[in-house]
Amino acid sequence: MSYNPNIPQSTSKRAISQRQILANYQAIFNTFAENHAALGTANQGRHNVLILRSQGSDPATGATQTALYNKLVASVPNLFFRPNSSQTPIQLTYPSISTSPSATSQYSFVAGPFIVYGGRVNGVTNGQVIGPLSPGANLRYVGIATERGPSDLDIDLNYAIPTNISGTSFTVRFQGTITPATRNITYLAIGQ
Amino acid sequence: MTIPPEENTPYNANIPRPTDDLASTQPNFLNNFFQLYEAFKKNHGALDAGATNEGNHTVVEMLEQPGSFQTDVGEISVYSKIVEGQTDQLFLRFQGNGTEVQVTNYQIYGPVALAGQIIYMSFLPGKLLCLFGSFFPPNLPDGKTIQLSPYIMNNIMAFNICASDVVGHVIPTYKILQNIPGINTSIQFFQLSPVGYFYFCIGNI
Repeated sequence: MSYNPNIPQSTSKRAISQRQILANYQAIFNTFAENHAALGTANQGRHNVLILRSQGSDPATGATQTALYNKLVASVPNLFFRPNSSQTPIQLTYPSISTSPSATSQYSFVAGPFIVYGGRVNGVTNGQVIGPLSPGANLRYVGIATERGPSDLDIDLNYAIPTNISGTSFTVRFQGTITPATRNITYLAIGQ
Repeated sequence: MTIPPEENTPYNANIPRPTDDLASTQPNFLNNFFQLYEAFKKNHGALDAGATNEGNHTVVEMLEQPGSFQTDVGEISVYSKIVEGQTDQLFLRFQGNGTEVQVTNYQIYGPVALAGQIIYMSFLPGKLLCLFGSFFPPNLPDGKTIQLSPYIMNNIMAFNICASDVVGHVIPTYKILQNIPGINTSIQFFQLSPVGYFYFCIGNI
């Protein structure tokens, strides 16, 4: 039986009220136990989890309030933070992530949301296109560092830079002519 | 709120019984309302906090959970779980029992820098450690090596470097050193003269 906020009625018989009140107490207990340590336990009231249902719109926040909530972006739930005084909401999550250490290409996210890509690519040739990076997002920054070859000397200037940063891809260009003609690189890219 | 004499009596979801009269049940009612009030005001605006605050969260204290939480379609769950080698950390799980993501990372040991090196430490969701900062190397034999401390990165996801001087005497090339098996402890780089530079490194832990 669900919670009934309108009992007992002044005209209710005690036998009826007893069942209604009992049902309300049980409904309160069961509802409260969702997301929280249950009533009657040492931690009653504290949270086991925050399960956030999607909101149709951004909640208003007062001058001393902030809000953490779930809102759909292209039908996918994401976590949002809204600063005080109903300032601009900030999307905290991107709906996927790939950070396996064994993967040659990985990505995570930062608030915005922005996707942070990184990876190590072996045997890159001059002019090689890296991408499209997945998931697809317009690249806003790319940086490259070049792994030294086993016979490279300190004075060698065999390094690569990212060029033609466009959409979800970029091109690796070597400085000068290098021998051997390939290098391993690591890249850091940010997309939006 | 008046504290009833049964303040240490836990909430009882099984009252009133059919045979209870009002006189015997009234203290139970009072106790249940009191316990409910006390429990609800933990982490939330109290039941009598006024229309603006009652029911809103004041803080979210997360109790350590033994496992992951289920999520239905349209839901996101946030919870805390113990992580080996760390402490309780914040996790989120995408909708429909999707991917579980470790959001925070905390290491008991902070970074230890070489002389001239400044290390800032942060993290990205997915057990990624970010080390970044600057290095103005002294004239020492190891002046071309930056430490990736604390030594917990088992894979370099990305590394970038740039020079701080006008001419750019840092060559953006590197060599990863593993002085501890399976752990990337430092990165050696190459420069034309001992100038300062800035670096950024992301790694899996």
